[in-house]
Amino acid sequence: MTRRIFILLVLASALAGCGLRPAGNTTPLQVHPDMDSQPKFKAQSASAFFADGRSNRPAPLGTIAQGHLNEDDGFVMGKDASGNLIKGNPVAVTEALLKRGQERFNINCATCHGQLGDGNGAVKTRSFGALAPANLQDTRLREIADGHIFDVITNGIRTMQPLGGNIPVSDRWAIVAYVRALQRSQSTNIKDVPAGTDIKAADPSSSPVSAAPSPAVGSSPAASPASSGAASTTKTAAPTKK
Amino acid sequence: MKATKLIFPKWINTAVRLALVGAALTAGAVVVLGKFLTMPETVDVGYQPTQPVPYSHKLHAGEMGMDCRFCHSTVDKADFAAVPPAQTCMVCHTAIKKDSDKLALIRQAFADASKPVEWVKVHKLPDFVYFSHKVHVNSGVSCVSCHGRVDQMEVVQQQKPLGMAWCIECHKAPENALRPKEFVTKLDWTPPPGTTQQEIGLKIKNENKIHPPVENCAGCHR
Repeated sequence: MTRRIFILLVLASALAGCGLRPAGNTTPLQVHPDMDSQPKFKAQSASAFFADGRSNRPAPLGTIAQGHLNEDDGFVMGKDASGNLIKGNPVAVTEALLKRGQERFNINCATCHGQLGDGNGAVKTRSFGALAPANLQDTRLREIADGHIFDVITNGIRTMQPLGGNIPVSDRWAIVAYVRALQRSQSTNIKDVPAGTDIKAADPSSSPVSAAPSPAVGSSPAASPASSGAASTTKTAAPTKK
Repeated sequence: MKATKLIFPKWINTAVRLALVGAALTAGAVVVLGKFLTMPETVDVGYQPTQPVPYSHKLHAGEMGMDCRFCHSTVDKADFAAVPPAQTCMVCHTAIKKDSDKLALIRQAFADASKPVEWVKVHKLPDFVYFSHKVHVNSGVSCVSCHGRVDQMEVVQQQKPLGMAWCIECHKAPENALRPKEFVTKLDWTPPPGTTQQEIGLKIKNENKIHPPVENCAGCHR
């Protein structure tokens, strides 16, 4: 009897040591269910109570949550009182805003539009041309109103789905400001170089736009258009005029 | 006087001893198995449910380098890291692989809001634990600390125990996990050459006065 128990013990310990759970689909065992699963509404869970089966409740049509009302149409919709897209950015453009915009651009936009905004993101490469994201360096988009960029982020355009639900209003304006900085960074000319800067390093025959340092967040702040300086001097040799 | 006949046969002495030893071993086995068989490492690690749509984090987050926050957009704004709506998938998939069978459920959910994709939750905490993604991510705890290298997973699997002992380990010494905020979603981040995780972690911990609850139960339990 003892021997049997002993063998059982050794076997069970060995099993426990290796992990009893086979990697796979089985629901985790609940040894002590305790109060693990409480009958309460959790984010994005199902509910048998509401007709639409959701525990997340959408706001009733025509209502705004307390404290969320903002009557500044320019800020919230990118449009002025008469419904025209506003020309400038309603948020004061600071370095902090551009940094925020850079981070949010690289999260939300760069996969399609590329980190330089030239439309050469990973999506374009991988889709073999099935999706051709807009080139934000295009003259048309350089000259377009800030409110238009805001509106496209918010409501989408052509195949681009609306991203207003993913990106809060203030972040959208930060992205707009950063897009402007990106456009500026790719259309510099020699006059932008402060007098007395050593530009011998720049070779006019090389450094096309695609080879310009990509403005990766954080890793190389010097290459970011948000911080003017050394990086822009190397690009002055290759102004993009299309 | 004639010796009284014994009520119990003699071998009973041995049997009683054996039974006592057996009982002790059984009790030991119950304790040991009770401990090891119920550990999160045993029952939870390795959980890898099949999802209704075979979405590959390895492809999207790994090879294409999409930021975690493109889809899980609430992770730095709310306690809950939301699973994206079908609309987020359709940002690309209206054009790319738009007729793929694998995406049928996404298209259905996109066309009819009452039929959402029923993704299966992988990383579960008990309902009496109030974990906040926002607080962790904005303090500089990377996704990788709790979720592992999701950017290398074809099918997401739970890799960390997510048990309380495991949480407390990090709450006692957050410097082992803290990193500059801008790298929280860079899962393969390592401390720059010449520095160590502890140095960087301690600096962030001191600068931002990060003192996670250890003995304060209400920090996580309400």
